[in-house]
Amino acid sequence: MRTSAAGRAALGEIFPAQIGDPLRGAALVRILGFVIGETFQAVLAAAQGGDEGAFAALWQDANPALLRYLRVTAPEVAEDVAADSWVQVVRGLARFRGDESAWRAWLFTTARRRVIDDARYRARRPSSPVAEMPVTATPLSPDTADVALDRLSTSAAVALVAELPQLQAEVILLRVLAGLDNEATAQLLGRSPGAVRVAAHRGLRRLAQLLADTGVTH
Amino acid sequence: MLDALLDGCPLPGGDPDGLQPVADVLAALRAPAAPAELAGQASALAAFRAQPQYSARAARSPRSAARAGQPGRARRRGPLLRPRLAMAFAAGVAVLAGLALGAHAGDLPGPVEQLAHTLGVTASPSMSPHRHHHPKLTSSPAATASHPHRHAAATHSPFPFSPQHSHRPASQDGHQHDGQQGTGPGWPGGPGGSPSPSARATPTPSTSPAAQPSAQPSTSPHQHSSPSPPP
Repeated sequence: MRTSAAGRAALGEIFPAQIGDPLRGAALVRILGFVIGETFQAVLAAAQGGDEGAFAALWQDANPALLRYLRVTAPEVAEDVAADSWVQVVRGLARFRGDESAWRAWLFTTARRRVIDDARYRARRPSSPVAEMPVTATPLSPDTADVALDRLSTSAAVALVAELPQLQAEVILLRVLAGLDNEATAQLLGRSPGAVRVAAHRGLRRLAQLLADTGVTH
Repeated sequence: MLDALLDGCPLPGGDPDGLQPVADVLAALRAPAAPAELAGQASALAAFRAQPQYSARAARSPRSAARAGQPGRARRRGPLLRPRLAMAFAAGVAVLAGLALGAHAGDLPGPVEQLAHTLGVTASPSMSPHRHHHPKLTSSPAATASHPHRHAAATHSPFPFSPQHSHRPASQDGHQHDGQQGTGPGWPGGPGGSPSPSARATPTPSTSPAAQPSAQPSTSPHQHSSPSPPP
């Protein structure tokens, strides 16, 4: 995947000089995905040692993807769940051992559990006045104009994925946003790898259908 | 091909399956972070700093931690000081024991005997001109039998270092009295320190402050070893 000029500029703002030039060089390799890349272990070790700049790098790398995932799985409380997830991650950061893939799997697993806990909490309290619902509670609906643009906006893409059945949407998000492979996604969801792969393929085909229905063709 | 899409790989030439729009959607999902998605960084860093292990490491420096008087730091200092305290205590015990034996045998020279008397290590009632003021300090056969080294300074006084008790109990007494162990060279009133009663620390607040201008408010051996007042 190529890195666009806008992406490089954004990354230059995301990773300031405080984390050092070597990290910035590695950060420009990819967009989202595994932005930290080869220097992940060094960044992780620094964060575990109390380096705020290193932790900020980990957070900046993963939080946007985490929020996009949560905007599909828990649109009403995405920011809250993300914040709670980071609190939990911080508590266990010193004990974490693994590569970047394991790190993202851990982060998204933590967030997913928070979503489940929040859903159970809300299920015990069914009455929620509409006036108290935050503005972002309403799920995003794909705007045809946004979808038709050559560069599809992120929010429109998230809204499209949110139209899919829950398992298909979650599989696609974990594969794309968290960068997890089929096996890791299956383990996170508690499903078999075969079931996850089938869900992913069905989700992609359904996306194609949704795009065709909105008149978006290449 | 679908797996390749999920992995972010480009579609094969021609896009026979018409999946480019889907590829665009996935690419949009991977787009760089928007400013709103980075707005929560301050909260995340605050949570990071709130963790004791990270805040302690970030603020750690030998002098600043010592001045801050962090409880954790104080606790960590305790075990490190015990060997030094033990050595000082042992040295003080040895000195006092030697003085006591010498005084008992009457072999001490005059100045040394006076020093021994000042420290409260006297051989026998007959040899100590001050003992009659403090009957409790008189060595008793029972006390002597149970603790031969402190026969000269047996005391049940709750204020072993108060100025009216001019005799310093043996180290065993100090040890029994709530950790008051200022008998080594580094302790106030110890052999290496000031022999003046006013320099002796008192473990209890009931001691007259006028008589104890340099009284240490704490009886903790760890506190005594610190040159700075306890926080």
